[in-house]
Amino acid sequence: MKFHHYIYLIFIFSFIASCEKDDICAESTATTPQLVITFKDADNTTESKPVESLGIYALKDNQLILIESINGINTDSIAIPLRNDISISDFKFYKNYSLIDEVILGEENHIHLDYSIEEVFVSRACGFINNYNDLSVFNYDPNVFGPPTGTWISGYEIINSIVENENQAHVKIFH
Amino acid sequence: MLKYFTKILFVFIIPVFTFSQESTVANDSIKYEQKYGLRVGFDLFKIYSDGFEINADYRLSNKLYIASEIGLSEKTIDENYLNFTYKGTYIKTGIDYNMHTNWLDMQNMIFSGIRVGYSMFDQTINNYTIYDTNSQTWGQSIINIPISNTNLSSLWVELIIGIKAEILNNLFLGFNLEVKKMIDSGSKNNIQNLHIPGFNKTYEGSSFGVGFGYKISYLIPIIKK
Repeated sequence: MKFHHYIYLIFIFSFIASCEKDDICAESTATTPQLVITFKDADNTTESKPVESLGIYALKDNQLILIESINGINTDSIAIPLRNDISISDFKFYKNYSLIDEVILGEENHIHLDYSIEEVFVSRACGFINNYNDLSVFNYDPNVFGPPTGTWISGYEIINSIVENENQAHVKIFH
Repeated sequence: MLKYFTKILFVFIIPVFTFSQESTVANDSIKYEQKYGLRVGFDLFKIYSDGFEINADYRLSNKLYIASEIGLSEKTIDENYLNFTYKGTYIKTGIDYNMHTNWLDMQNMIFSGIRVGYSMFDQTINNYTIYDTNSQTWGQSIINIPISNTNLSSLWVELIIGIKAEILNNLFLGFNLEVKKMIDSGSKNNIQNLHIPGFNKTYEGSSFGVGFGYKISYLIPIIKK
């Protein structure tokens, strides 16, 4: 082969190689992480203690939105999405949850989360994801006047105040 | 993608037609002269894609040309999760080597070339949607506060192959392909430079880029040899 034949070959391969990548966000791409919570025994804080029939609602603009994956399950660890448009999230955690004729039954506990949002550039196809820093947890609704009360949750501990992956728990909840 | 293929096809076919139009009457008794001079022109594909480019080359020897392109680019691109605008200027300088041996006094070129490219530009992410596969609870979050990265600069090298055909006296029509290798993309704030004037689209995890040129140029003859 002559010299310029090699050049043609390099060009052909380069064009094939450059066409390989697509502008669709791959499913394997790390998405915005969720908050990972583990439930522990209030009397023995190292022991896991599952919550009986846990149901969680997100509270947005006075509307309750059920988290579809947590709708009355027995579990000692969960992952919940945090609100991205503002840097606070409110949730209603229900123990012994059930929904009968659109009426929520069970023991309610308000959880209020406060954090700062950090936008992280991922790629052209996926854009940005959010990470969350300076996480703090309130075991009651700070917007309700009167002494703070939780019902079935006795306390919490923040293990990791930076939420950038779901590899380990960020918050322990004692009950 | 189909749109791109038709574009490529289009630029491939036209030079073929122009080649076939050439007809030079051979005359044995004449000593054939080659023109040396400055060839200047502009890029049609660039106007179609995102800006304007002026190119020039100067013939140094029988096979060798010194060549340069200067251009400006501005475009807004809408992707699934973000919308961005790039705007800037670039310069490319290098040499072209003519691999084609011309008959008689013809001046056609099948050439390969190398360039060093440099661009100064701004990139603004106009709006973006936070990528969150768990957004069904809270809803998607769309941010309309632009992120501007200004005074960016990139440096790259490129390899070119192409043809230039003389379609009328001293008027050339050319097509070329470019493969680019980034040396320093100079990105800021951990945001990839998505499209660089002169370098074109960048690819995630790759320092290579590609380009096309479809150029009209006019030769100003200075000397004949």
